[in-house]
Amino acid sequence: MRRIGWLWRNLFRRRAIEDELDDEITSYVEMLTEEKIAAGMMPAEARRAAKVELGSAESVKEAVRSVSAGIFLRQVTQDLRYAGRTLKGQPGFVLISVVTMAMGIGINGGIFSILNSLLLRPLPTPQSGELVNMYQQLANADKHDYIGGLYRFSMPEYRAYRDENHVFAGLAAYHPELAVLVNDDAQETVGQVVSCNYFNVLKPAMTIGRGFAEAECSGEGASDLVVLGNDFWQREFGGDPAIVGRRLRMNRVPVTVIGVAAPGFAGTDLVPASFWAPLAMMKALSGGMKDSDFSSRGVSWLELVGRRRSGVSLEEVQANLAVIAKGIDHQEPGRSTTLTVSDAKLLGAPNIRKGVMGAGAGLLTAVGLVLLIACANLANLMLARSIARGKEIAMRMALGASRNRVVRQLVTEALLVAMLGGVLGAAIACWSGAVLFRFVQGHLPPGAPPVQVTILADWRVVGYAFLLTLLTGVAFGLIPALRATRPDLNTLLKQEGAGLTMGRERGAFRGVLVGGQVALCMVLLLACGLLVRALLRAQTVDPGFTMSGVAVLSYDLGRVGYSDAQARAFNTSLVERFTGLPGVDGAVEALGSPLGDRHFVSVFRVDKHPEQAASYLEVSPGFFSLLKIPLVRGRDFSQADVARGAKYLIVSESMARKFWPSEEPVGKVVEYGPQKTKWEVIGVARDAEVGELGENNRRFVYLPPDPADELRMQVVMVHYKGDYGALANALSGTAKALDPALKVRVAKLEDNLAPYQAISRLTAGAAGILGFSALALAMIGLYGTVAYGVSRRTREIGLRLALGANTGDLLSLLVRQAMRPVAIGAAVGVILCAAVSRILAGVLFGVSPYDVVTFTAVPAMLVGIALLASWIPAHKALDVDPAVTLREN
Amino acid sequence: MGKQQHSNLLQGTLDLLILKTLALGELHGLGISRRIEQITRGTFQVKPGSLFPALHRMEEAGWLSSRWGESENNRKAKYYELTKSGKAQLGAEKTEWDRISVAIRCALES
Repeated sequence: MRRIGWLWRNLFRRRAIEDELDDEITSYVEMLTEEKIAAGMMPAEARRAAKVELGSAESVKEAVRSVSAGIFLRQVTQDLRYAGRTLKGQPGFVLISVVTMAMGIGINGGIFSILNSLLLRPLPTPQSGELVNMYQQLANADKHDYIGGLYRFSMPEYRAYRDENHVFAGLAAYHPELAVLVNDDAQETVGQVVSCNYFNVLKPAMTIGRGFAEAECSGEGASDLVVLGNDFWQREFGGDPAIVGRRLRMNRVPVTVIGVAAPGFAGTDLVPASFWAPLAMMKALSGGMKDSDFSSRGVSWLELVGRRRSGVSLEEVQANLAVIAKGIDHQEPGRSTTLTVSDAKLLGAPNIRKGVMGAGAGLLTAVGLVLLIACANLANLMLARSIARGKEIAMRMALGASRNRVVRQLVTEALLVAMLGGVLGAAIACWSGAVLFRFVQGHLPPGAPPVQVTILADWRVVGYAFLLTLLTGVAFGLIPALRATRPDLNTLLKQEGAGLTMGRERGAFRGVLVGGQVALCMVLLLACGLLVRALLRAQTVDPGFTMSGVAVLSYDLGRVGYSDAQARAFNTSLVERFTGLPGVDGAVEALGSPLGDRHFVSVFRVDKHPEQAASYLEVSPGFFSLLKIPLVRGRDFSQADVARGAKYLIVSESMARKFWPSEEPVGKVVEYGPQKTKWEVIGVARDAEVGELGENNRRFVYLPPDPADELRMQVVMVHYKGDYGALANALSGTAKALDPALKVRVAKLEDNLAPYQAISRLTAGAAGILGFSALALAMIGLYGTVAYGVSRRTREIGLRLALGANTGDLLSLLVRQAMRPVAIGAAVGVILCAAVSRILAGVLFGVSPYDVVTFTAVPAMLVGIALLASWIPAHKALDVDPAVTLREN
Repeated sequence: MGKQQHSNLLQGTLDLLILKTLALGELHGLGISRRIEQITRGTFQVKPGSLFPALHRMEEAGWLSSRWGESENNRKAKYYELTKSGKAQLGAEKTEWDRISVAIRCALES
């Protein structure tokens, strides 16, 4: 308490304290004088002697001040005031630094605010801190189907966790991203089916009406109720309050609206939900679900979110759920479950989280590197300034300021500049996140999920920006300050400028700065080069099958209530009619199109070999010739094979090599699927990137259409000649003629490349912008360093020229000296990039992370530009008349 | 110079001396300095450069209180006085000093 009182007085009653101190010392001197007069001295002499005994009154006062409370704070304010005054005189320096910092911190913070919204911010529901996400990873489990995500749960698993736990006030399940047609809309609407405790667990506010009640979901029968999202209600029904009780049709199933959720709640996923229906409606809305899928542990389709009982910790939840998981494992020999339990966030699934975190970390690192390069430039500027201020610094140190104190003063200046930039940067960060996110959204390929995230800046973003500001401020302030206040400063000051060549050490520090910049720049540019190569590849790729002249028609019969038999009839007559269209020379149905968005994976086994998981596709006869995939051995399926349900399959060359390295594959037997039925190989197809572009694993299996999968046959590929537009109309017209209500989509097969191109375009674009900002910054730094160096050596240059040095030799000497740190930096950069480029492999689509073209072209370009950046100022310096430079100095 | 070395050498000694001096009654700066000289028989001459910082530091620590008063020659002077916690501090420092001096003596005689 007492301390605080003194602190208060020292800080805010400064004047009174100082006056009192002054009086005290004056009275001391006067009494000392009297004492001396009394001892027999003359008054004038006594006064002089007293003053001598006191010494410097100012230094006594300073000694008193330095022990009083709040001295540190007072020095800081002093430093700040002084820094303010100094900087006021250098608006150019301040402007460049502030703008550089603001841009760097702004963009960095913007990216962070996106990650924050996705990964860190709690869900927008009441008491969201109690909500918990749950995911499972299974080993050796008999799962034959995952709908939507690898970490989801089956219905029986959900029931076990829901009923056996004692840690949750409630555990809800939902299946997100269910697209349905509402009434007669042309566009599909995305919603969710949810367990009936969903609204009790998440407790979102309701605009009108209510959520589901437990009783409405007991029993397997369809409960034809629906809750609407606020946006959807506003958009489609104009916010009509009479909506409750209205009947809507979803995929031709009548449902009754019972409520509307309040604005701001659109589920707990990236894709906002426009409506919620009870889980039992899944079968009616999705088409592909069978009754058995609700009771089977083999079909995973549910995401789980629970609300902890109050006072129960996350660890207790984990422990309790692990016990239940053990119980489930016991029912299936060999099965083991790994549960991931975490506080609920927008992005919860561990794989997606990891991916986004990786991408985000990469991006933040890249932007951070650019910021670092910018910092190096500022440090350079700062160093030049402190050398120019060398006399002032030397003076202050000579007058007894400690090095510590002077460094603090210089760092305060840097921090002040950084803070100005940081405040501006934080403002930019609050806004740039949303802009960046919208930009990315705008460049996603057609067909990407309609992701919607509110990017908000909160205390985390501001804190991040502040931390960044502090770090950069210290980074570009501290090192130059330490160097400027080195103990041997005096001698150095005397030598530099007077000497002929630049001080070696100081030059070395600049060299380190330049080398570091070049190294960082090299890493970014190489990454950028690799991504551009990947983009080119995605544009000009040969996936091993023909993409041109193929149209893809897709539709979903299950969703509009077809039975298997009806679907077969529809598919058959559709293909028949297509083959009859003018310009069409082949039509083939399949489960999905090559490089399409539907993937099918199953397990295959040969004799005693271990099981192999491989992608597969069910295709009807003619698939290989239509897509020009050569069959290197054996033959295609025939219509007769399909008709009699023959268990034949065709494998890719890689698959054949894997199973039978030195034997004839045709005629061999393969066990397929969890049922382990035996299938005979009748052909081997040339490897093609059918599943994914640039995949290393080209093991692929082609199966004939399975009659049980008739409803899932949702794609017909047509090879055509001539105009695509007319053909597309003819195709959808033909489908509409068969079923006017069916929604069909026609696209070119090449369009399947769009997602790959979009990813490459985005990553290459981002890397390009960052790479070239880095290049520009690094080259400005190099130019500045060389220009500064030669400007301090004009006398040396003049002397050399006067003594008859050859201009060319001199130029090459200057450039060579400048290029030494560049060369070292470039080499370090190449090594660094080679060490980390593996992490890009996922988005390179088959371009090697050590791609030779990139790794020669980029360093060559960078070194070339660096040569230019050092040649120009060196050349300029040589332009001067030696007589002038000599006289000037 | 010599006295400054003393104060560096025996950190806390000055505090102890000031506390001891003031235990007899309130004094102003010059008075304290003279009294110390007197009771240490001239060994310690405390200069204003160390005296005033020490006084202010001890006042902020709450060991001393100060007031403006009149000197013997009717001059305005700042008088320092021990507070309750100052007296306690004096006792504590005395004990500590005894302990140290005994220890040092033992060390030197061993």
